Amino acid sequence: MSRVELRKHMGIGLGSGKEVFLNQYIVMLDGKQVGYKGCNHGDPINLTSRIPSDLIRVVKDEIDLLLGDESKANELIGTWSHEDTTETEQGETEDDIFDS
Amino acid sequence: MPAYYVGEGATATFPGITSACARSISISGFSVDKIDATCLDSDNFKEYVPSFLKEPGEVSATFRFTGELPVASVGDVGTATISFGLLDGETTAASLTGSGFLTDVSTSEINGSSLVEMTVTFAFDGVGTEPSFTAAS
Repeated sequence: MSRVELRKHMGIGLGSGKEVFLNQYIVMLDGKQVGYKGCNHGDPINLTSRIPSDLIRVVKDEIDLLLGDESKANELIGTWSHEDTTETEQGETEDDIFDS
Repeated sequence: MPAYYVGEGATATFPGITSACARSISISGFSVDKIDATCLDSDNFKEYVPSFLKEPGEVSATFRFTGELPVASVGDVGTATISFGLLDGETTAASLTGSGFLTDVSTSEINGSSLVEMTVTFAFDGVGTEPSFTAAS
């Protein structure tokens, strides 16, 4: 069963007051929004949640399958050291180069 | 206790800048010119009517500059989406979306004592996808 669902991103136009299709999908993972995906072929998947890389892969693969697309998944860029789960007890991560 | 938006989890997407970590987001708002329609026999106050055209406004966001950030160019055309983040119990976020172009991309002073940031300003063009609001659900 697919974990990813694409919902049409609809909005209310602030000029016309009419319902507008915003030419992108809301990307849902397990029933919760994790990003947006433009409707054009190759448009990137813009994530709005920090999700692990394995889940990003799931999202990308399932969207590519659903749309026959070859999109790029854009992660939220940049992490603070306290978010870096790969850091060891010795603090051997790249950002520690600047701390020494 | 009701939940309120305080910016937690908000994101901004612009042409060439996708889901970079935003530190602040501002929305200029939308406005309409007022046209003076006062007559010589008007009472007490001047009379105004709204213009039939609205100013679509612009949005800007400041990001941490990481060096990984895709380089955006002024004039890049596309869609901007401001997502307000999810409150408890919500499955889709409130958002503001519209088409337009980047009018300004600038970097903060590099001085060794403060974070280097990039600020991007995006103007809604009013001709493509009009600025539209989506309610959270």
